[in-house]
Amino acid sequence: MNAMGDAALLVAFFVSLYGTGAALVGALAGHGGGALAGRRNLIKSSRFAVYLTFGLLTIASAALLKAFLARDFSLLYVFEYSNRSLSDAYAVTAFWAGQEGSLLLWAWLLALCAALALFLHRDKLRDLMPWATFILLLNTSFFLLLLNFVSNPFALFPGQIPPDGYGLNPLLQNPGMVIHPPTLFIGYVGLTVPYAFALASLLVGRSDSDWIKHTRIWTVVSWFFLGVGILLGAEWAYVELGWGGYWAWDPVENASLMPWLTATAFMHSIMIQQRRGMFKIWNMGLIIFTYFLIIFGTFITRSGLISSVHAFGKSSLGTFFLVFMIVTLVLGLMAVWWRRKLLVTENSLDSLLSRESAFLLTNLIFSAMAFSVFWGTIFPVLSEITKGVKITVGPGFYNRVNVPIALVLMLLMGVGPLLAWRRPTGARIVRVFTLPAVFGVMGAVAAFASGIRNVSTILVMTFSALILGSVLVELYRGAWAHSGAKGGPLPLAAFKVILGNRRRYGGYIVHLGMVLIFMGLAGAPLTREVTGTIIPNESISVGDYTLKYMNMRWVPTKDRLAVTTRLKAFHKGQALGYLVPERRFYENREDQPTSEVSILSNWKEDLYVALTGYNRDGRASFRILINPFVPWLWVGGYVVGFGVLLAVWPHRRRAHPSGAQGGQP
Amino acid sequence: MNIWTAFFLVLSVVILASPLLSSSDAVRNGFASGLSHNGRPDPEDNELELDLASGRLAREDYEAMTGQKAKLVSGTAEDALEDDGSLS
Repeated sequence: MNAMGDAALLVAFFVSLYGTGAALVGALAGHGGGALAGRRNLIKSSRFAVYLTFGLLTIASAALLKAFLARDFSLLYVFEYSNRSLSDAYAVTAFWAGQEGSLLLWAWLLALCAALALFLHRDKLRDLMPWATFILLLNTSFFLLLLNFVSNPFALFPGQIPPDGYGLNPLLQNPGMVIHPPTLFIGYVGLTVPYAFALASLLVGRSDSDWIKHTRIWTVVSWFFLGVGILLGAEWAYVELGWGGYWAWDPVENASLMPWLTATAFMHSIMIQQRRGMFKIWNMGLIIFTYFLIIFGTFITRSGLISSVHAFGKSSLGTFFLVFMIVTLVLGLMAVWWRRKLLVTENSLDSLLSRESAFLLTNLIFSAMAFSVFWGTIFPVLSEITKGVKITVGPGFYNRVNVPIALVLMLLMGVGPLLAWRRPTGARIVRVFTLPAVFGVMGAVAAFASGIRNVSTILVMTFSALILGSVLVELYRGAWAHSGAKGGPLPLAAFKVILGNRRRYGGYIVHLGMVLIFMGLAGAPLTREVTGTIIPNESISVGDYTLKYMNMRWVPTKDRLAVTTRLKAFHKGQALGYLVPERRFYENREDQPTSEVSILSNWKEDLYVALTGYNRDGRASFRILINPFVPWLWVGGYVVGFGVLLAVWPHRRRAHPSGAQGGQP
Repeated sequence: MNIWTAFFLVLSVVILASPLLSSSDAVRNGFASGLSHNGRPDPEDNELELDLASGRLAREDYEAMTGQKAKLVSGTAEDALEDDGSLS
């Protein structure tokens, strides 16, 4: 099976390379006006190459998966990332634990997305197909080049096959880590589709927004997966690393955040291009930079250029990604320059208080945020080049820059949806903003009344209430209009308006989810932390909580030894339950103990306990934190998910006036 | 070259060459450029209608943006809200 997988990987590279060339020839022949059967057949053949590449990569991936499940240590990669005591569930996730397997997962997902996109849009965007196929296959070929000649997962173990493997990094043995990498990868790879069709539209010479309409679902779903991937990564850091936080502005964390920020700007900005024919050059720039940032993130994760707990080791892949990244960016920007006349805006801003202006400002803010994160991430490298000293930028820089930007963004989230298109009147602005403004003031008062004195947190609560108010006003106005036109009670009208305008109201639900996430983040300055070393039956207090240390146990299992402590938690003297923080020592990784934190959650905060040290006599050191609003972060993720689902849910086909069946997904 | 490589190569050549050897498919598929709308109505127009009805979009702006004459809903939300006064 290994030989079959290796062969499939090699042939996939040649097939992909052939398809790239065939698509390019077909596309260029089209520019020459040669709409001949030969050209069509060549393009069809290139599309077959996409399907075939996907099939071959599926075979290669299945072969590697089987090797992991069989613990086939004749493969060096399987030896390095698994062992016999590893459960089958984690043996599956070991597939993408290392450089080679994660590249294979990326290539497989890319081929899957390319095949799906070309199949689903084959009738809708026909003239874009040759260039889109070329771009998608060019990307796939790049990954296949690396997989075959630089970082091959089917490389054999040198010498005699060992009886057992080295095992999976204990930090990766966490349920969140099972789905975190594939989720992020789906986000990254999915955004390749709008990128490919955007460039194809440019190269073909079309100035319309058809590519946006048809690839919108790819943008939204990929954006969602990227966001979920980021949240899962944060949740993993929270429960697995034991330092009490979920975001440390680590370069690899930043690597996933940057494309998410530009993709968010892109997702908002394309609405204006569809509606008003504006921001065309912005949108093209945003999707090109989003793709650049995806490759940039991969470059810093895999090059070893910047040290991070999340990064892979130093490897020769960095040079390949650096070249690919630069070529991608330069070619993309050259295409924009070449076709700049097509990207001229069809309308101009009528008023600074219009909805279009709010979208433009949103764009600028997201871009500024992405740039600040980019700057902080590459600053150590730049400082080393220019001054010979690696100066690392800490969380202080990111928080100082991004917290004010995020607050302005929240204000816009509250104000933007209420603004009218083109030229709103002063009277209308006053009328629609009165109620949300009242909500905002109530939010500020509630924050102050509950004892919060941190200005950022108070502002977040104020703007959160403002956003809630604006969404409610929007819903009310829509329902009122529907009820007035078609009759029926207001709640039913609201329900119908939501179902009939899923994109808009799905978006508003996403905004509400983001409010919850912002609230979760706003709790960070209010965190209270206590560390202490105690013996059994002693207690330690933080805020209104008291923790009584009950006992310590040493628990050996098949693949590890766990030092388990048990604490009884009380809130204002009332028993809440038990907390069981652990330190784990895995086989072959005894020098790398992991922390299993224990958390008691309620609607407003987490009581978080990590075991940081212990002694054979039962003495144990704990880090105990009260993390306000953190549970809201995860709930916010679910709400965003619901909103996205609503926004992309297909519309029922409507009867066309001419009698033909119409509608679109 | 092992047996699997040879097998996948032959299979790939057959699959990739099949469209090149067929002319009938090409004729059937027809490659007229710009065939992307398929004459279907755009459900996103719903949103502009809602904007119009709820007073977020002026009638002339609706017509300018869609290129269609506005089918104005009687008693628009804008008017209704003014009558009702609940938000003002």
